[in-house]
Amino acid sequence: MPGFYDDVLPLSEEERAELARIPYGEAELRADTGVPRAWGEPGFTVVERIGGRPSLDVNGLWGGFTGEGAKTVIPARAYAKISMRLVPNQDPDQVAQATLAYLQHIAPPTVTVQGRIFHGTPPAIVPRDHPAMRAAADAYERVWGRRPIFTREGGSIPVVALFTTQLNMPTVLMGFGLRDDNLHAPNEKFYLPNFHRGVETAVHFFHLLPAALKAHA
Amino acid sequence: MAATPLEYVRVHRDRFLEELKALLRIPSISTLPEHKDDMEQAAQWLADHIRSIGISDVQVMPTAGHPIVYAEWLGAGPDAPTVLIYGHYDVQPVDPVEEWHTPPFEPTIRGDTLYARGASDDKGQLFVHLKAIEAYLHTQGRLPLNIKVLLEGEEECGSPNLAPFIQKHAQRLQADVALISDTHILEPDQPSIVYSLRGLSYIELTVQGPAHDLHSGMYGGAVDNPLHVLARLIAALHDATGRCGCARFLRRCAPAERRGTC
Ligand SMILES: [Zn+2]
Repeated sequence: MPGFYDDVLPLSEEERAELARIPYGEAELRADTGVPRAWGEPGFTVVERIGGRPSLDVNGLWGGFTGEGAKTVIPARAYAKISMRLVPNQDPDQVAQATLAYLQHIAPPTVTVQGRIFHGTPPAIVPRDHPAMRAAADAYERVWGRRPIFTREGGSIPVVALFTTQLNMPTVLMGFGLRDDNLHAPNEKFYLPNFHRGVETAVHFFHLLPAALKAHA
Repeated sequence: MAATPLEYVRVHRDRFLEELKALLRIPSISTLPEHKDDMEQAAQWLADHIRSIGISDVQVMPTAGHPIVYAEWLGAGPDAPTVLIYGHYDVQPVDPVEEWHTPPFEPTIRGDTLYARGASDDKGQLFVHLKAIEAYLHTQGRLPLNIKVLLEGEEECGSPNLAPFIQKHAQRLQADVALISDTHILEPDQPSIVYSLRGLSYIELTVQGPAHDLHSGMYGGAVDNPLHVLARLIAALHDATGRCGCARFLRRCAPAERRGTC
């Protein structure tokens, strides 16, 4: 699939060292998902595969006869839905078109392959040494007493891309939830000590940000 | 009397929670049409609350869908930086409701934890910032920086009206930094900051063979089968180890070769 990895921003050694601080690996992945073994691009850790490398997944595959009993049909069409998670600096449209072109290129002349490309979301990255990120890290540290670890999220937050592309501003993702908060599920919750710490962190951040930005300018 | 913002937030903790519970009681489920009035009510509640913490410039702005609550306090002056705070007041549906230990819109504290739909996604997290703003305005009468607040009501249905809103009000929304609290940290006592998010591309693929379904007894062995082709195409997207695609494509992504070029 030529082109897919062209614009992938490589992980620096320093970045990999920071990501290695995250207490998540093969054992946690197995426990979370029930898979018998991890899988993925060789040479990268579980955390790097999820946050720092692109991925491609078939989300659904259908066609032909799937009902009860036997029906001897050669179906006219077969379908697949394919999602790709992208990392900086991949462009969603370009990747979708390159993938589709590749599939059309390798398809035999006995069929035609058509694709519908959905509206994508660009990946986002804010340099860890951006003054606003340093102000945020200092704010957390003052409240938690520990330096925050910088992490990469495998999912997308479309509004972050909007702020980047339309307003040209970096976004500080100052989360206070926990991994097991049951978002979108029954018994959603918020760990209250971190609600209160969150308010204090925001108080510090508002105080620290002006000086941090000024020192940078 | 609390003299500093930090003292203020410590003194008023219990009241903050009571206020958050009031917001959580509004069932603002954006994806269900029967909750349209609740969406309006939640937007209005937030606008009123923002006024009560000391920001008078607040509007409930209509969109083609649910309204956006927008507020700004620019009292720090043009030389001070501006932060744009984003949050969303809509919540997910509550199904299966029988699996909730306490009703989703009756916020309940058990131990150290507050249970309710929206507790962390995102009413509880956006509320953090409103309380920090209040702490400054109520103790010092001012903030150290300018603040713009944008609270959306359609995050859980894909934000269909946010891009046009941002485009239309791009000038007004200008800020140095956007601030969002809608993610999680690693452990309760180990904070973390997400500095990168993955993006998304999505394709629906159709492999067409014959013009219509065929009988395998009449044509089997003489025409190619789109299901077989699709299986081969998909198999070509990864190698056995989990790498994407063909050798050329791998060569291009080897970190050692790419380092320093981006
Ligand atoms: Zn959310």
